Amino acid sequence: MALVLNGSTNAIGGLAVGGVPDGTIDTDALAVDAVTNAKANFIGEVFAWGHLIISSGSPSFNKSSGFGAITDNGIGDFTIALSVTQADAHYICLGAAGSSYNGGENAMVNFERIGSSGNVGNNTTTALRMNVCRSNDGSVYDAQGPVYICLIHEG
Amino acid sequence: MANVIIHANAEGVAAITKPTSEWTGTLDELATHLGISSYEIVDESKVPTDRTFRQAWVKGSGAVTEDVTKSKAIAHGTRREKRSTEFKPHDDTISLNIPGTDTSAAETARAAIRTKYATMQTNIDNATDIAGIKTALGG
Repeated sequence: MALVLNGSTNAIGGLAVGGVPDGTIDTDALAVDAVTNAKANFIGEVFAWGHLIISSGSPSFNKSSGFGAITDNGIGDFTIALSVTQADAHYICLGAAGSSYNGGENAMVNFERIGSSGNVGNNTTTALRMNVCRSNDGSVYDAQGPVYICLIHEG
Repeated sequence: MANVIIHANAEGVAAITKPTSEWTGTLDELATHLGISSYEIVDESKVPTDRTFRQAWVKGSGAVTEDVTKSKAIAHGTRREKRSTEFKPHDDTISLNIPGTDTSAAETARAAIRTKYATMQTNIDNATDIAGIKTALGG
């Protein structure tokens, strides 16, 4: 197909895949947020993160990206839904929790654990299971401080 | 308030699912995404806000409620922890026989603690609602 320049619609037709000369598209030519994570296909990059608040009622994210929902399963026991279904369930989970108050218990974040039973709750392509627990005996509890989580694609 | 999904998890405890601003589908679609069945969509105001007896939350019809019997069991656990904490310094005084300490006073203090928590135990058992249990616990 021949290259067609349409002066009415300002569109270019017939351009072949790879038909734009190398090095001619610069950063300014891209719209803000035009490159999605799926398009970028990053390896070893963060694809979801969140700042979780548990303090009262149903827990919620203060700020987050890449998460579609949070399920409060009970004390210190949460299922986090991913907003985009992943290609596989092999992703790295990092978590940290703040102390609830001066002199209070330190908190730990565990992944792939079912809080009240301690059984394994494997990560899936759509969600992950996590606990917040005491560092001294591992019992689940609702840390009053912030809880931070971060998910990274395995390279 | 916003709508949330409520369902009973495998252990019979009410679970509450709240979407983030990134979720662009419906709550029914979210339930499917998470594999949740036998759920209801309710206003978040139908979920308790005090998590004292969180493991006693159960899914009712159109709301999450606090089960009184389960809440009493949790309250007794809290009572025992509080009693143990109050007992500890006096137990140490007696068991370690620390020089310069008054073991007789420690025994008296222990007796007072026993009485205090025996009364609390009775009050928890006699409570007929969640507010009564919290009052019995001193909350």
